[in-house]
Amino acid sequence: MLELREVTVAAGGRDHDPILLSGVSASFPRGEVCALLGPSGSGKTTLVRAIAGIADTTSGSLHWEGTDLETEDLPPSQIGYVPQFTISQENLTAEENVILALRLRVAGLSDAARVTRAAELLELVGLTSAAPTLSKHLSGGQRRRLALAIELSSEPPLLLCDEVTSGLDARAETEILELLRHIAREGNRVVLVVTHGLRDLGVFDQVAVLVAGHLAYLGPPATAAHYFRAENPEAIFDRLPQRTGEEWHASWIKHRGHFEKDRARPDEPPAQDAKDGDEPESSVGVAGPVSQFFTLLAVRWKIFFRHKSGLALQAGLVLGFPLVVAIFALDGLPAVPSLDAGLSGDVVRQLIEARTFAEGASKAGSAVSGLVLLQVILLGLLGANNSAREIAGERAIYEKERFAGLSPGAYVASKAAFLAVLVVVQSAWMTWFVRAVAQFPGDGSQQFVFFLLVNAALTAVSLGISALSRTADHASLASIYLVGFQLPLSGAVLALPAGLDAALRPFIAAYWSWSGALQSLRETRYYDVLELVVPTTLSPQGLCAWVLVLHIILGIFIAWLGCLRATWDR
Amino acid sequence: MKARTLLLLGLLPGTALAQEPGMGDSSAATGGARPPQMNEGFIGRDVPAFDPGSDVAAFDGKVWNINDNRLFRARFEKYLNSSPATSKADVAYRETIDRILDLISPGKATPQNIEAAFSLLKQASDYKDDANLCRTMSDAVYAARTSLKTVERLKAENAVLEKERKAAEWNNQMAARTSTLGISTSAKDSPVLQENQRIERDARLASTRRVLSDITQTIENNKLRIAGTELTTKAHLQALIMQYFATRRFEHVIIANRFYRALYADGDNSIDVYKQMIGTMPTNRDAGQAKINAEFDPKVSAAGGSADSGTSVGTSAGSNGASVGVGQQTQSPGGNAGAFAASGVKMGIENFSIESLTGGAAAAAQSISKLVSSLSQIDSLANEAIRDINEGVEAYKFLLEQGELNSATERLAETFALGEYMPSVRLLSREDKRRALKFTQMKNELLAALEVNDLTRAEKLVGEMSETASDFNTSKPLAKIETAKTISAMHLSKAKNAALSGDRAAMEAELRAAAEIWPRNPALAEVGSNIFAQTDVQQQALNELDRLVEQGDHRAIFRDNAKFIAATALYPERQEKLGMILAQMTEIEGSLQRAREIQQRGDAAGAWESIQLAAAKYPEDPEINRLRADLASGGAATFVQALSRGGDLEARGEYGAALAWYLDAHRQYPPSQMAQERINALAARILPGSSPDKP
Amino acid sequence: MSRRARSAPRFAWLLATLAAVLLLIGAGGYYLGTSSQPYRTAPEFPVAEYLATSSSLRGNTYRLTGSVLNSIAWSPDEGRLISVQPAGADTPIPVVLPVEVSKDGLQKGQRFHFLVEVRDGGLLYATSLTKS
Repeated sequence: MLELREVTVAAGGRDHDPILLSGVSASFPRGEVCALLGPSGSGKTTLVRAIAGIADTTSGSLHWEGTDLETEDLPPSQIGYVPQFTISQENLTAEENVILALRLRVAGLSDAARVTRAAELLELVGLTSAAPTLSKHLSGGQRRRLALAIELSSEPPLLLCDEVTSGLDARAETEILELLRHIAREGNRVVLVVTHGLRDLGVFDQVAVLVAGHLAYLGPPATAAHYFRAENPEAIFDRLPQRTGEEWHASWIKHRGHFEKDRARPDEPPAQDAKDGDEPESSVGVAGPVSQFFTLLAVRWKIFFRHKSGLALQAGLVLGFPLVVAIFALDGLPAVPSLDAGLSGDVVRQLIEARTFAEGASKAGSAVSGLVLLQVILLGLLGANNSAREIAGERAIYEKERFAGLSPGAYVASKAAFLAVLVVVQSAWMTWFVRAVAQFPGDGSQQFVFFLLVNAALTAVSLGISALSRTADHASLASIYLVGFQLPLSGAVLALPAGLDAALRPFIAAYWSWSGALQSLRETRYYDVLELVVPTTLSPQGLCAWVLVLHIILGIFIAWLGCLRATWDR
Repeated sequence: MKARTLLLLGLLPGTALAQEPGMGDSSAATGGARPPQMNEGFIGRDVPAFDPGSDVAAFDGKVWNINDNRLFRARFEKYLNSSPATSKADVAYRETIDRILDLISPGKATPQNIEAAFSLLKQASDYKDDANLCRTMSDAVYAARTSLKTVERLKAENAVLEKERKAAEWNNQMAARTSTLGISTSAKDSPVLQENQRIERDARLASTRRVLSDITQTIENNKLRIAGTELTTKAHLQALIMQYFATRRFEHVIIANRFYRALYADGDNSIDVYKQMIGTMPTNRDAGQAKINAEFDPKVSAAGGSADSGTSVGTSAGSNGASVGVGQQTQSPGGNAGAFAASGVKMGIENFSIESLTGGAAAAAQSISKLVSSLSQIDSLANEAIRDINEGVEAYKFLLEQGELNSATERLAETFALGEYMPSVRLLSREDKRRALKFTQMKNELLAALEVNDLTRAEKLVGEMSETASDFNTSKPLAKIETAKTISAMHLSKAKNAALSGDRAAMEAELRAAAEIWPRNPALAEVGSNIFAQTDVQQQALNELDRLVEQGDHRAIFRDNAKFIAATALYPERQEKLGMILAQMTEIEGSLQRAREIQQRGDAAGAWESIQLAAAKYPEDPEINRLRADLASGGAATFVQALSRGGDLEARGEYGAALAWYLDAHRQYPPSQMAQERINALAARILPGSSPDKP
Repeated sequence: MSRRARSAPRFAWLLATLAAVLLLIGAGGYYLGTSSQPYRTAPEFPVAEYLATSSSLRGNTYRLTGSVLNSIAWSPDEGRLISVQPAGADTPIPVVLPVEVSKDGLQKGQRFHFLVEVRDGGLLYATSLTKS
């Protein structure tokens, strides 16, 4: 039984902030479905969030089976939350989605057991026939059912449903409500449903009506219309504006006894209540972070390969970008002329020689520096493209899974591991291709390291941006900007003003990679002439690598921080 | 204080200057309308006077031209440069003097006013400008008052004595009578008794007679003292007045005069006493000169100034020791009345102060005393002089306004000579004086230029002066200038003629004469060179060649090579020598020109190196050395320094650093042969058996 | 604090992490910045002192960074005499590259780090060189 005692929620969590919920006291027995009713802004969602533990309670307390939740909270897997819009991996089938949920939320199951359990759950919600269908191909009602199946995977005794019927046709709505009632009965669960629809009130065991944060009614749906003096349940909302929340609440306090007395379990006897209750609660535990990591990584790869257009784009970029570089050096690099090192008094000859040298040297130096910078920028672009949408694009799923017990560390690590493979492939291909086609000189392994590092750095930073962004589009845009600024601020093309140079340089990955990669040419003649054309001094290779590694670490750290931050209420 | 009085007296310029023989000449040469010798009469001769017609000032029997003697010029310039006497002290002094004059002016001289004026005298003497004259006057007036009191006391004493004398006379008569009675009664008794009685009476009479005689003696003595005292003080004051007059302190003359009248209201203002006194004084006309010398010669003046006693003047002046001796003698008796009477009129000397004794002043005093018979005369003379001075100043200002600077300056000089201590002169503003000063300076400069025969300068000055002063008479200086020029030109043409006729001695004499008259005559050099040009060119050229060869001045030979080639045509030996010299010089000049061309291209190092090679061959040539030094300290400094430091280090065996410096020199001037040479040498030393410049 | 938000990171913990990261950046940067300099244990070659009197430095080993100016002389047995333009100085410094350290394809303008030893006559002998 879930019991609320004088629960008050203020908007900012402090006493003088606007009150969202005011002294709500209610109890919801197991095995019953309760509807939360009320006009917009009446505090329905706040009440659900307070129960879920997402919103702060300013005063009052919540009790589950007599235990104060402040002292001993329910584990994540014991609260199921079904959001308004179904959130699932669209490129997985219904069955895969359920299995994924089982993998993440339920520890200690064998693969076979998971398949069986998934089949049971799908059968429970009536999706057995749609099990092999990709989630993106499911209908609205099927999706709600899938969501219920996913939430039920950890056998939660408390199920919170936020407007699960909105946008469904009347029949589907009735079916879903019947299913919820069945779930409540079947698993001896407390099921709270936030709803606007007043048509099927009869399905619910209890109806709670909230007006401006005050509880105006809590009782059987049959007597609700009578209490509000409405002709039928649909007309209840028309009556509500006639009094303020306080007045309704005072009225409810006054008449409560009468209506509570009328309460009765319509279908099943209360005796069943305690019998089934504890069983699932004790058997279910969340999977460990390592297990979650591998699960997520595997799923990520599965989705990666299943998403054909994405795969094609990735292949196009990886193969195409080196071609862009090669175009500039199809005929190889210009040779560096040599100067006569002899001690000569012939000034005119020396001047002519110096001029010829300067021309040739600047051509060769510019070509080398430019090619390196081009590779760096393109790899940066690839990096941004890799990870900008990675977290922001599935933020809702992540948040739901996190609510259900997903470890942010495991999540970010799985992303990092997935991206690392991409980065290595991209960088290796780029390095090899340019060296092979353009006969690019210098130490190839050093070049690979610095190209890899810049790609990884921008991938990591973009992942961080992705974790901090509201939407995938925001993240994408910000990452592209980040790469776009690398080119002018790198100092490889134009020297920056001294102060700006020192202030910005640590953040410009392109500079460090360019600087480090150029030094792979140290033993070649090209390196000698770089000084003539390069407007910015090069930093030691070790330092370059170090800064880039720091970029990677920092990017992943930011991503992790971003994942720690809950974005529920957005 | 005494030294000060001496100097003031000495400041009177003419007393000394008239005795300079040169000055006498110059004033005579100026030739005024009236020769100074003709200035008879007391005005212009015996009191300070000035004759504008001849610029001659006359005083104390001497005359001098005020515009034409150096001392006066200097003194006048000093005055013109000084600021007007408008300082606080000056104004206060003026006010004090005016107040004194006002207090004791005729009609106002009540005993209270006289007392007030008397106290102001001391106050006035505190100011520097007063030179303590008022203090002297105050002392004299005080002495006069004291002596008047003494006279009163003596007169009273005589009155008492007169009574005593009458009593004594009575006693005497009585003594004589009593004895006669006694004798008559007993005369028939015996001659012995009569004799005894006569002896007794005589004895009695003797004592009363002695008393009477004593009293009478004392009364006579007192009478003598009264007369003497009155004489002393009167003569003292009179002498003072005369002294003020002599030193042109006309205001002090008037003040002293009025005090005199106030003290001796008996209407007797004759100066007979003074005249008697002066008559016995020794005079020494050289004394004044000695003092003037003392003032203008710093050494002597220092000696005189430091000595407080008047004797020092005598000793420093040397020639007037005798008169000082007299002063000391007369001073010694002090104020004893009896002795004073015996010394006669010399008594005044004591108060005249010892400096006044010097012959100059005594002579002046004598001259004055000869002419003036009463104090009223002196008084009117002083007033006349003051009026004259004030008019002079007014005239100066007027002339200044008219732009007639010459006359104005002359008027001012006259007025200054006559009354330099008068307020109107002292108060003249500096701006007014400066114009005169400028003109005076120009005038003085003109005189100086004429003295040294700098005719060009003199002519220029005359032009400037006639521009500055509309009334400046240019005819006199111009006449002198033109005359000198003409004479100089005459001598020059004579010199030319002498040169043409080969008379070298005459030519030189004429040239010298011309140069003496006008040393800076521009024609002099021209004529001289023309004369020399006409002498034997060839011989001269040969001589010059020999001389230049001897001196090693090949450059001069090279410069005039055409002349020397022509001159040596007949002398093969010389010709050969000349040919050699010219060949060398051509080479030197060639390298110099080359170096200069390189230098002009902005390549100082190259120029230096080029000239350095030439210098090795011709180390003596000054042009080469000069250019080399110029370059080494100028544009090629760092290059030369690098080479020289490299050389130093190489000499010390520090081949590494030496090579570095040579490389630096090579870097600065890559075509440098010297640097390249040293680098190659060192490279061969460092890497024996190496080949230079292998790629 | 809502019940679910309790797992959110503590601010102080974040700050400490950030400080640690910054420290890591600084320390690493410093170490890499200095350790990347070849021959950093040898003192910098004192150009001015050398030019004043080269013999006083005799027997010492220095680090000289500069670009090759000229090859002055070459001997197959003894190596090469080159002039080096030290970084930050105008005056070229002569350096002898013995055969064992002489590099093929030494080019004018190349920058090197030289480890030089001052020998008799103030001559500099490179004992090792790496490209800068």
